[in-house]
Amino acid sequence: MPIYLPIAETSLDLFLLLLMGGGVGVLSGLFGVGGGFLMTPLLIFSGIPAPVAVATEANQVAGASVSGTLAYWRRSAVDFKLGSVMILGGAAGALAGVFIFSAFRAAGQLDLVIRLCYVLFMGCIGSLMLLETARAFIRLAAGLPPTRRRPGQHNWIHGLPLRLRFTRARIYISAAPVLLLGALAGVLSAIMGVGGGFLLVPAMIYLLRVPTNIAIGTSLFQIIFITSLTTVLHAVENVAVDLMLAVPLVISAAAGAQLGARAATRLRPEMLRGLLALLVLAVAGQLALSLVLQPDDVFSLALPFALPLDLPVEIP
Amino acid sequence: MRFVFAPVLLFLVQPPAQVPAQAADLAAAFAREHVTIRSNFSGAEIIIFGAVENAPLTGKNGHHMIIALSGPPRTISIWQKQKIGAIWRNHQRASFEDVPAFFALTASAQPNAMLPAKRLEVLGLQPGPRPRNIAAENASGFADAFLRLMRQRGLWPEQSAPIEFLSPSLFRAHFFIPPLAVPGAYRADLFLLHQGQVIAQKRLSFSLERSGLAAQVFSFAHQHALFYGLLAVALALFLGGTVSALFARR
Repeated sequence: MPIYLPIAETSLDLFLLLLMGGGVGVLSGLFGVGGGFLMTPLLIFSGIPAPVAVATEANQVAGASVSGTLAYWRRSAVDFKLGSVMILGGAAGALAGVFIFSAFRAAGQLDLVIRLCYVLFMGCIGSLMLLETARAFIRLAAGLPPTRRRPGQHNWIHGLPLRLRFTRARIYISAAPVLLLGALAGVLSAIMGVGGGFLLVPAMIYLLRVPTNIAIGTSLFQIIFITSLTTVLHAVENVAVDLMLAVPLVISAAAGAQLGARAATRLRPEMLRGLLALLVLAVAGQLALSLVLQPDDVFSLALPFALPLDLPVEIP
Repeated sequence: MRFVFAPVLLFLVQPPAQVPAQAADLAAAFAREHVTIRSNFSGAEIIIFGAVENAPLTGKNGHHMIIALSGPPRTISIWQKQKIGAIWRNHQRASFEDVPAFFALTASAQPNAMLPAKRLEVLGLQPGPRPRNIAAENASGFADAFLRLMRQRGLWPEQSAPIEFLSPSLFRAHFFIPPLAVPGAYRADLFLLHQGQVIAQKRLSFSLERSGLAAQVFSFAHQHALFYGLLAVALALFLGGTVSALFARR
């Protein structure tokens, strides 16, 4: 059954849409990620104009993070103070990200920038995760516990000024790296249509030395706010949020995530991380190929026609 | 092949004094005057019905008909990618201003068999969009790309089904408007031809409108962007939370 997407100005099969949402939802529940990094490329590959895919996906990620946040909150695993400082930085980042997004769109380079960001971030994160998994398996084979002891010593970040005490996260560090991390997540959320958990969680664990479950809970908490803000900014600045696309995606992804989360309890965490790493690398590889290989047609239409593109670019 | 040249030859042979050819009457209408884009829109069939009166017979020496259906004018941009370093990226943009966002032609025979290309162009039956802001040597590449890309999306279909004559006077024409079609005023120009001359013409119009939920979402998104954004967030948070809770219970 086709469903007309008024902002994307095209139609897509509703069952396909639900299937995509559900599938990505299962994976996101399985791996404990937002799923934006899978859904945005999937939407672009199925013919949704890139600006609409990114903006709508930010909206979906906001909805996808609610239940996780509540679950971590119930377990007292959200540091609201740490989250709030991150949101402060994230708001600035989202604002800057939406501005960068519009500028590149007017210049016709948005698609390229989105793809490059995906290749860069997904490639790095995927490789790191794969490396970590390989290390864990080697340690298992050697009869050692699969995860290394979290190093207790401080690093240079803990020597920065403007220190704040975050009781629940059990850290006493400068606000600067927290603001900066939030800002980076905000920019990525606006340009890639993701929550940025893939970046925030490891950064909080390894750089800020936040306990793992509090890093996840706090990241989920701040993602709700940042992706919500990104959604509103994209709606105002780019008119690129498609409600008819977002609603089926939110519903099917939320349902799929619960199923995935249940399945996850039956799999080994090192195994899960390895699979996620492969998935992330596959997405990055696919997008890298699309940039390097000669396109089927070197010409392309600037779509959709109705999106405001007020800044005409004169080519001499 | 004989057929292709016949009207042109006839036109050449005939003395100019006979040019005010036999007049005819043309009556036609769209099967629907409003076509709506609803939330299940996946394109629309556009049908024109009509009758020809007081005209010479159809066939080799009889009348022919051409119908052009064109959509609302838009500025359409096309990008050309170029390999810069290792990466293919958009390099040059051409804008086609005020070109119909949809254009389709149908006829009772090959249009260029009825009229020479120049006449077709004058009547607007053979639009050749020219890009602005692009050097002349690249313009034809962009013009070809325009036709190809619009054709791929069904916006400028190469060939529509030929006009059907149900009787010597009664005819029916079909067009298909794809899901990507731009809403707005669409018009059909009908030309009745006899021996290389236009003996009757008529203009019809209909509007393609967004309606129902799709229309409301579109106008809300454009007119009240801030509230639209807030609604999108509220809906996502509410639905995300509710659906998760429902599925987690089981």
